[in-house]
Amino acid sequence: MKTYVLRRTVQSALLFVGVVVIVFFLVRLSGDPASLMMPREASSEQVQAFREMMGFDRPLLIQLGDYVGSVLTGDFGESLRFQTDTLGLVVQRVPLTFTLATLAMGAAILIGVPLGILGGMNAGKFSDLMARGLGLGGQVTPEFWLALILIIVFAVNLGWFPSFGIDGPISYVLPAFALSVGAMGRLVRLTRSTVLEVVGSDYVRTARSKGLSAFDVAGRHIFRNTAIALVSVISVQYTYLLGGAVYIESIFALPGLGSLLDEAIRARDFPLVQTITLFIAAAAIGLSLLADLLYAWLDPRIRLEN
Amino acid sequence: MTDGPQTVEFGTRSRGFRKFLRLILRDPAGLIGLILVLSLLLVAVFAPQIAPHDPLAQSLTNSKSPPAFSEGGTWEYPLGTDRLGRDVLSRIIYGARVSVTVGFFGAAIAVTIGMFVGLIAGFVGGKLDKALMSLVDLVLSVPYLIVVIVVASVLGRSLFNVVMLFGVTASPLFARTTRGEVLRLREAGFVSAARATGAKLPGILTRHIFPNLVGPLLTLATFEMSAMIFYEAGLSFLGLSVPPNIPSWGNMLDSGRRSLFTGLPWLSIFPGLAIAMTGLSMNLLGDWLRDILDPRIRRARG
Amino acid sequence: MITPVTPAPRTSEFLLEVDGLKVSFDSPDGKVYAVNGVSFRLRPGESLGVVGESGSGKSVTMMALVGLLPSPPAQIDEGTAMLRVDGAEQDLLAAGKTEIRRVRGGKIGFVFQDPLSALNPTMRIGEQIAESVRKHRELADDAAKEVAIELLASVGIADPARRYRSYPHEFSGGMRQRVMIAIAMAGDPPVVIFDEPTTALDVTVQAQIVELVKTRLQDERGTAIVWITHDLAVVAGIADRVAVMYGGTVVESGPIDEIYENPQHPYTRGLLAAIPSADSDGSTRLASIEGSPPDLLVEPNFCPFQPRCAYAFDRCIDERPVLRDVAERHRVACHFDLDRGVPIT
Repeated sequence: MKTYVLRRTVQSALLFVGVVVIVFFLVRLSGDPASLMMPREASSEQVQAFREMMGFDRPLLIQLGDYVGSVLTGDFGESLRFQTDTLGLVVQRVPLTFTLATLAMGAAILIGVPLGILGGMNAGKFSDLMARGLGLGGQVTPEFWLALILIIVFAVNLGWFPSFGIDGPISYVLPAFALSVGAMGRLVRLTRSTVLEVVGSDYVRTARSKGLSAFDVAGRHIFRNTAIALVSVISVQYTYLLGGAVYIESIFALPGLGSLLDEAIRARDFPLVQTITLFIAAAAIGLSLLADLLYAWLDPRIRLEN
Repeated sequence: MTDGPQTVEFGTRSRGFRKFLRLILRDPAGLIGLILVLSLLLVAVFAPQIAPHDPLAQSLTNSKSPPAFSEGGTWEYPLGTDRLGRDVLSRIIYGARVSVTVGFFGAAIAVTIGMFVGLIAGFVGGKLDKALMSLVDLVLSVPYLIVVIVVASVLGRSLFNVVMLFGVTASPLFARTTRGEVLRLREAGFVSAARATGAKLPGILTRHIFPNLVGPLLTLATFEMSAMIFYEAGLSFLGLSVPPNIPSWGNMLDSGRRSLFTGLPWLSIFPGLAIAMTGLSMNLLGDWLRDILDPRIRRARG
Repeated sequence: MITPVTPAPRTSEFLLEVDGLKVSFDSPDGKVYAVNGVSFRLRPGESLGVVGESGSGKSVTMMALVGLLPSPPAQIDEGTAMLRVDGAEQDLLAAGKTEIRRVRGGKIGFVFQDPLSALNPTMRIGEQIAESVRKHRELADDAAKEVAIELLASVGIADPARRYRSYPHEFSGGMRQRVMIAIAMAGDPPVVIFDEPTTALDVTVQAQIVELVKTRLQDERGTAIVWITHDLAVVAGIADRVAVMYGGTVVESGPIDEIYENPQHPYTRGLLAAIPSADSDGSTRLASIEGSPPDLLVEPNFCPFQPRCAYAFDRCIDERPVLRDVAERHRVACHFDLDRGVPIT
């Protein structure tokens, strides 16, 4: 287990360095980062001056080394629009996105996992058909569309919830629900197939052959092994939510990471875009590391490995 | 029982087609998916013939007309008009062209690049394989939506850029699948057996590798097409995909969003329904394809 | 419909008596006739070897008895299976869910083929035994744990108290199969069904497991045993009687010596001819009979072995042979009298 933890942690750190390199190149995909970041109406002299100021005229490898080096020492650069440290801007926005994504994930788990279990335990029956239908429905509903519909129905027409901004916990209801449906749908389907696999496994047959009650077979053998398998599934879904937050936060005008990315792109504030991207990627890598470690700890086959 | 590698048998063409018919008729969900996908294709191809109006024609006298089935609506504009008096139905019909183009060409490019990289990784192996697969893992470690948003914002709004963007960024998935399949076949001794009988690489590829890749890649491509159409709509919605003068479902939703509080809900409802229906049809088709084509699944069932 | 076997004696000397069992599966390609009228009988303490190639219906038959077949797609179409324990008689195929659950583990134990996948990877070995002990002996946790440790010791696991806390992946294949046997013994059932228990193990370990079953189950407890295998050589070491299965039916059954010395079915003869000489490793499989196994999608109202049979004639296609007595408890289902070389009239 110790070596496993060490290996996975080092792997994740390397992955992060790789992501820093990718993010560096992403912004240079158009070939000329200077004109990308300047307003369209800027004169060529202004662009040239900006290019020199940002060091975009230096050789690419030097720029890369410089960027990777400063990121690894905690210097993420300055926002063009806000004229302040990008990391500070990002950190400020984290709590809202974290709250929103966690609420959405919670809703998705509370609805999706039981539905998936229901479907998997009753494969081929009506309840399975219903669960699969709901799962597929959730999966194919674009969150940005659902958000609009929810606003039209529950904010504009019924007036039950605010349509934008944060005004107490009630403001989270619509955004969190809109954000959760995709993850909910995928969870239904993934839980269902995991349950099916476990139910069809030899060890569940053994459990049945012992004469255990259906309750014991489900509780002691099916659910436990399903839950362990779901750890990584859930962490992947959580990262999806971080992406979906871009739509939801900008539709509901919530000051989170996602809406910050939207603003930064509209303002061509690419240093800020880079830092947000790095931050979200780091969160995704961290989550997957966490999930793997949790899985390793839950599964004796990895936990007891030397 | 494990009985060696399984080769997807397509048999003689006519028998294969009849078998296909039998398989699709037995699965109503797959049949619905197939019919919907084909209809979408037809709508996209024949948009000028089908659409009742010019999707760009503005008519201020007929602006903000509600759908035909609600009060004040007219069958002249079945799904209503937007603020500039453009016909929503016609715009949705033309919008299918953007979605289909992105989905189809995006997937085609992704399959091509991914298969190429995956074959190299699988056949050459060693350090090159390791390097390529680390690159794949690296790209897949960043949430996909964030990648496409950032790249789209750098590249600027054009249909070509969007197609390339999805083609390239989705290719790692196909590379991984291809490589996995190649390794599976190699491990099963298929390739070395063929080599031993004097087969050359091109022969091995066409006789043993490609037939086995068809199932998994086609299945993945169907799901990815649906994902690309989804993400394209999202990018349009954020103003990062095709230019605003081209009717696309995402662009339409974006303008629906601007009219949220002015009582034009049909501008938001119908384009979203089109996206959801497209996703539904491709998922149903993909599920069915996976059931009948993926050798791993078949083996697990058999 | 096929009327099987000669009527069983009214005095029920048999522990388990299966009569005319038919099981089918629904598949995308149509109905699969997996078991087509299987009949066999088992006396208390007796050991029966069930021999047949894969697809002959031997495992499906046993799973059907205790309701372990997934339904759908499986369905039991016909038959009875009388189990007589402590003077009480019940038909397993007509039993309700709760009733059959009491049979599993308590009256019929099971040992499956691949002990790695048959054990729950995330549950401690001892706990997997103890949960069955608790169920069938109605013991509290501590007492059940004691019993489980004793069981581990009796199947030959060294340092059982410590090994109680191990997980399946920490054990070797042979040790895992010992654990499976301990699980089967946990409810102290009068019958244990072994479904190809040694197929996944190497030859020396196979012999150890067979020895263990003989001493711990047969000799010490007098447990009746059903041993499913495709290996006639393994059967010789453990079974009193043999039932040979083909195409979802028993084609021949009888005492082991009788079957070896006087086989009356062409298929059995083929099998015996395929066994290598006595002192080879005995692991040769039953693959050397020419032709392929029967198509289970066709309703079998003919002799299933007929396409591969050298003695087949018209009647074998028109009519399915039923079991007939040829000697004391020796029965065969064939239209041809192999000894005299003429069709049965």
